[in-house]
Amino acid sequence: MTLPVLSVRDLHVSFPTQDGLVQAVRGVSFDISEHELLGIVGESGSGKSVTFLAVMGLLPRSAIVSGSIKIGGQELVGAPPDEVRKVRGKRVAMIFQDPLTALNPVHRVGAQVVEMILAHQDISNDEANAKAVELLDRVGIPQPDVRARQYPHEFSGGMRQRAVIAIAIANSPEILIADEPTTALDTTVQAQILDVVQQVQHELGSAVAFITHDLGVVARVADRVQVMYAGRVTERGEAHDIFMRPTHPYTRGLLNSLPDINVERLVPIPGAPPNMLRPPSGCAFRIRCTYATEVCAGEIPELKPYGAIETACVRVEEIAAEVMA
Amino acid sequence: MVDILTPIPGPADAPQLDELEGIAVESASPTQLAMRRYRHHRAAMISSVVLLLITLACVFAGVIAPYGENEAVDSADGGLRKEILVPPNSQFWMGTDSIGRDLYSRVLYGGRVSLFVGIASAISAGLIGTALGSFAGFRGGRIDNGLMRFTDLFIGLPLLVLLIIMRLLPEKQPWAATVLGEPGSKRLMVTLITLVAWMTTARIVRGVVLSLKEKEFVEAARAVGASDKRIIMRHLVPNTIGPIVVSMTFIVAAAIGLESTLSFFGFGLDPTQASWGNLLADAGTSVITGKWWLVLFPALVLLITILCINFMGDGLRDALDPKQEPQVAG
Amino acid sequence: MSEPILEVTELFKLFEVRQNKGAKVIKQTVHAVSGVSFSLAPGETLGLVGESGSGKSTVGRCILRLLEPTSGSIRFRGQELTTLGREEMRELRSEMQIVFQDPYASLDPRMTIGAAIAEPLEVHDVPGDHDAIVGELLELVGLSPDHSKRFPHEFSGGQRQRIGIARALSLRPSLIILDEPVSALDVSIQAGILNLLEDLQKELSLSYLFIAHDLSIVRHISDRIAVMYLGKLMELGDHKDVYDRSIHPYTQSLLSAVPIPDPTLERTRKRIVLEGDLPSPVNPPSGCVFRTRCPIAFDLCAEEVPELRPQAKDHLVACHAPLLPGQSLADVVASRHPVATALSEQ
Repeated sequence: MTLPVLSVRDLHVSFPTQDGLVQAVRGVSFDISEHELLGIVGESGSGKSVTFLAVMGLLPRSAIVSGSIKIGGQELVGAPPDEVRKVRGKRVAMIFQDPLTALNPVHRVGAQVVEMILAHQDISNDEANAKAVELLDRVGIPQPDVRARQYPHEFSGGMRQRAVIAIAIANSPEILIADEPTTALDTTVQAQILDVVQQVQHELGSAVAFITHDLGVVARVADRVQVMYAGRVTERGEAHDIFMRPTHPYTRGLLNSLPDINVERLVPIPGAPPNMLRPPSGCAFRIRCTYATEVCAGEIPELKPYGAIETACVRVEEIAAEVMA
Repeated sequence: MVDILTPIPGPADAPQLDELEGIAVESASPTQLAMRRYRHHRAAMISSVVLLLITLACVFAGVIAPYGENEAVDSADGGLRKEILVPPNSQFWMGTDSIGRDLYSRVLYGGRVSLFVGIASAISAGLIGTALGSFAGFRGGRIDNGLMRFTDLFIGLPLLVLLIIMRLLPEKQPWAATVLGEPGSKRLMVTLITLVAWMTTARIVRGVVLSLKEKEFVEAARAVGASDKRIIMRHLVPNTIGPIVVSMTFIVAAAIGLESTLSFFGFGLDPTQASWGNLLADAGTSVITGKWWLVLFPALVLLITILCINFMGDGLRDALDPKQEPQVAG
Repeated sequence: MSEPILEVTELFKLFEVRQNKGAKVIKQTVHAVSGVSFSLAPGETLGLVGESGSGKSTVGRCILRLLEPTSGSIRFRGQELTTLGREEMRELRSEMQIVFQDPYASLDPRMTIGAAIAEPLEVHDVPGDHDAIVGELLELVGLSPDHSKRFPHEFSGGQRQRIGIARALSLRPSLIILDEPVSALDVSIQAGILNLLEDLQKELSLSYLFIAHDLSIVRHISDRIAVMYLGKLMELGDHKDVYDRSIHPYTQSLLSAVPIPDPTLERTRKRIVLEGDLPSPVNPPSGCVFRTRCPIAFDLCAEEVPELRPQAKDHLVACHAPLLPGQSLADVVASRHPVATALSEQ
């Protein structure tokens, strides 16, 4: 079996602030292989974005990072900034949420693609320009040669996001990180962009980490799904299994709170995501969990296999039995 | 699709509402939070203390100063001579000037004047700038346009030239003396500085009001039927006080500097009145003739004061920066 | 049927925009709302759905006259609002209120939440103990009256939204405009707010105009749904009709684009992916505004503006060739372009 493209082990990220240490990521481990799209689901404070900012090496200098992040075997945690910079944009690239701010408003779109190309490829300007146009074409921008010479404000939201994707794939990265790439877009445009992401993934064979809070989007694009809460992974498995047979109370809660044709009344999860300055002891979700007992306040539950799924709930078997009854 | 969760009675020690709802245990108003942030700003805190000491010393000059403001000190040996041009020693901490006046005392008395001019200018410039800026921002449209062009007019005028001309006007025209202030008076100085300093505040306040106007909480007040007056007083003003105070702080520093510059060139306050600028003017070419203390001490005090005020302004601005507001997740 | 609580007829809202292009000043008109008509029955929830540029938020604000309509009629309980003077409008404001989208900007950061909720009471000089009323309202929305002296920044997004709802309820209105009330909240919190809104509606006999872009939420909470595109109404009908039996190509495309949280369904269903982007409201297309992206548009669509007409009982549509109830747009498109569809389904 081939080495996973991205391998994260026991990642911890904290931010010192005026009020104390914010523990954004508290022990996260996962792998993503080539051709695979891992959907990462979580709400505010889950740590999903911070995890991948760590992978990209884009955390502020004050951030405290420990653990291991390996891209194709190359360790990034503790690596000198020069090495991280060489990896960023070449082996791993990111698609951000807001295309408006991801593109520099005073540079032409084509030039921004070229900048990404020339940062990692030793080719002539002309060759880079040609490649840039070709990339814009690949992501479905009509009249790419004309468009390359335009500025971001002349692009619509959907087209800007396509341009952002073009920049991300410019150097055929082994792993693509998409952080809420469609959240800021209209529904009909979102559908287009999801098509582009899937098409691009198919063509490049990259591993893709797709971060979102939208469960519908995850259902559409993800091969495997990883659910995060309060800086940890709570459940992980094949998309079908996670949606059809969730085991963790948080995942169940999320799915139950979605509007559904067959449901008269929604079932919210009581309370709110925790303050990461002082996360609850043991399982952070226990405060909102209807199945919580004293056991849950003890040790922080580890992610363990349960059938086809991995789940971080110490009571998973008992809960399954209760629900069946 | 997914089996519905059947709620099961929770454990006996159910969590408190506060923990469940994620609300902070102790409450703090935005102002209190800002003060807390200010206290963390080391440069601002040190500057506040230093400035406080300087201000107190100057205010209580009458008590602290060993000699009078214009007192030419008699020679120790009892002769008709005065203690002129004495370098700093144990009796005269900052030395004496060409007439025999103790520089330390004059620095203290001069500080009163300079600080007064600075603060008074900042207050009046702040008031005028706020009134104009908030009116322009709130009304928008043509009124905003007109007022901003009027503001630009003042910004466009060459500062020192304007001040010098305005300073000379009361000397030639009696009506100007009545309106603006007697030549060499503090009142004239404050008036002139206000004239050239109000624009920054006006622009800042206008900007803040414009952005606030679009905020939903203002829309909410309108949706309820609140009058314009109520919206301005209850919603806009409290949210603009921060930037106004910051702006005024920087004006104090600028005003003190401006007064010193003008006085140094003779276009400021009446030379008989001690002010830091006048002290520098008296010093004249003293550096060349070796009387370094006459320049060093007034200049040092000016530098420290202006630096402190600027640091305090920085601290205030950072403390009031809305981006620093803590957000509870969810 | 009892008299509608709200009746909007031919509402237009145009914005003048001035652009500086070098030395010239170009004046453009943004057609935010172009002739929208609908009514709201007492106790009903009408969902107003659309993407950006559809004009749905503008409609909400025009009804409350937070924006002045360019033309058209808005009747509240039979009374014409557009011609009212400021004082008369102010009195009516106690009957209609609004809940905003952004929980972080809809509360004045310098006012305690108690003061924020009590403000409407102050403005209208409501007699009685305001503190007590505020306490009641806080309990009504699921918060503790003890928190009334706290500031907005101490609350989570969901809680702030509840505070916004409490404020909207303080004058006991009969109509509430909800402008994307849950869009800015976490998914697990949204359900709680939606349940609260439903409960309040029953308890206080409220009528809602629920403006949103999230179709599944709108379907859940609405009795009837109105679909807007580029300032015009495309379809209006019972929520089941508009969802399961929609007859407007835009509605079907929109529904098709919404991902369903069910991997099997989501990956096997036939989808219609609209090409291109939404046209600019400055220069809306002639005739039917949707025709530039409509897979089944034909010549008439460019020449004549389709009127909103009843196709079935209480089911109105603005289209020259509406689909039949139950007919799938994807099928219609496939039958016309069998080759193209086969390729796209690979």
